[in-house]
Amino acid sequence: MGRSWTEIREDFPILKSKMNGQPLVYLDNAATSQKPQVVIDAIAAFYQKDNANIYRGTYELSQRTTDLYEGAREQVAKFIGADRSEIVLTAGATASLNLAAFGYGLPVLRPGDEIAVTAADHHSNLVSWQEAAKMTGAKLVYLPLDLGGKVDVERVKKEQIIGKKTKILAIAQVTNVLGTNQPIAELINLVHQAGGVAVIDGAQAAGHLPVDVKKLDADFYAFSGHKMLSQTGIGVLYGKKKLLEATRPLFFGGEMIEEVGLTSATYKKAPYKFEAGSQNVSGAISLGSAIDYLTEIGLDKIAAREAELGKAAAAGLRAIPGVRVYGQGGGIVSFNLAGIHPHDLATALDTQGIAVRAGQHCAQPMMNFLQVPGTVRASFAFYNNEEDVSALITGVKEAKEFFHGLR
Amino acid sequence: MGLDKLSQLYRTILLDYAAHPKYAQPLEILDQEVRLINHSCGDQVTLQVKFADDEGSEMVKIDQIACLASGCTIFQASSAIMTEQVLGKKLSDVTKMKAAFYQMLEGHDLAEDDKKKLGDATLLAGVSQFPARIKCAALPWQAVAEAIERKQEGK
Ligand SMILES: Cc1ncc(COP(=O)(O)O)c(C=O)c1O
Repeated sequence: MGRSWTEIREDFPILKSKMNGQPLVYLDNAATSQKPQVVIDAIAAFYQKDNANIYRGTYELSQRTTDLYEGAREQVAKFIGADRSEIVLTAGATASLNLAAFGYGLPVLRPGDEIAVTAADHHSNLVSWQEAAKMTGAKLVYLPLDLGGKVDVERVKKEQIIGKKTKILAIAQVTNVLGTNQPIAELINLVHQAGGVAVIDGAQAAGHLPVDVKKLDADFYAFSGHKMLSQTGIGVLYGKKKLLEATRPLFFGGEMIEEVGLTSATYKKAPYKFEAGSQNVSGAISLGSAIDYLTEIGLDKIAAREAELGKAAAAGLRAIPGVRVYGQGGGIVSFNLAGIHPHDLATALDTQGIAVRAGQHCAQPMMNFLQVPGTVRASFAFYNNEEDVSALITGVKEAKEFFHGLR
Repeated sequence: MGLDKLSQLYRTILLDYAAHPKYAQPLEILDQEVRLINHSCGDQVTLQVKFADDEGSEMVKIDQIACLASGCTIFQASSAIMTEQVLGKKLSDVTKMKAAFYQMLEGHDLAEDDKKKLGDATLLAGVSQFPARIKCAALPWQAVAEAIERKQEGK
């Protein structure tokens, strides 16, 4: 038996703090996760003992730093079932998706080609492909969604929406508004049959459920460190070896080159050709440390725990008259309270120490799909607990009474 | 509970303003239309302004105004109050009012004179206690300032 959830919660120092004079109930984990002490310590230890620039030094300290950075790459590779040569360390999911869109997509897209996306996707995925489409004359095709925001695979098949013209499928494995777990294995299969490539946005999946890019047969897989316990400014783009070779770098400069002449240069092999300039070493180390921490708890257990909390919250919220729950998946629950704007509800929760996100969640097309100006989103992590669920439900009830009392 | 703090923000009079905006009918004739969106929360405002027709002089005023706002209570209330307060005012005065309003949102105490100029907009002083909501209160004022700027740049 591993450690209890109560013991695990103790690892997150910020959860003992207060907000607006109330004990902090942090339910905005889909925006960014909190950090366990081991990760915070790993970052501090790096700066206290190991800091130098990587690759460049001719001295032992620099070599040690380089080993730590490359060690983190190795950990990431193992974490998602890839080879280390297929792991590009980036600034985050947004940077990864932009690299896929402009480094890979731009050179291969032709006028009339199709890029399959969904209205449930995050702006960082959608807008990158919109731009790539504009620049190449390719076309965005929106996959049909059911009422819960899940891709309707049967319709996709029947109407051959993913077909000969589909060059790229760009879709989130888990969506950030409703937490929908998309049927990506089937979709990846379809796009491969069509001869296209699958770019998976794993920002809400990595660190929340076991990910094996080889089993999924994903061609590209993007995620952020800060949403899975590490610091901001570090992320990952996994790409199949051949595809990374075909991908053009977006940044040029130091350390990504092989030989530099006066008018042109040759570049290193992937992944190094994508990592120009001084890299985010402490970020990589924090990511490695977070991976160790998550793996020790177990991603299966984490997925089950987050779904348990998400379901309990959704059930409690649905029982409040006037609350509409738009969807729940894993630890994510999106809802509204009738007659109260999501932002006003979020402020009422804020004064009670409860941190939730309100608004469009970088997913304007999804808001249009749900036909709402915005939603309140509570997102639970494995280090939340049943008390946090109760706090949310009580908080919403009190907010409701407060606003109705004003009428 | 923290809800005490909340009642300083959501005063009944603000809810009345939000629910019953006086100037929300689109104008038939207008000089400037400004559309602003707060992307983080989805607040949207379309502000239409007709200026009093004495071009070039120091005396240009806001002659007619319409503010079509959809969003949270704070934003809707601020929109409604802003329209009432700036209607008929000289552009230079509106610019000063906006500056004073922003000062207030940042938590600064206002001179009596400024308070008088802002009228019921001072009911939103409590927003300064809620940094996450400052944008909501500020957006309508940003819209009117932009309309004035465009007018002054002769666009
Ligand atoms: C589904 C999804 N994709 C991409 C991103 C972008 O991640 P980042 O802001 O870390 O680059 C997010 C973050 O909100 C997300 O939820």
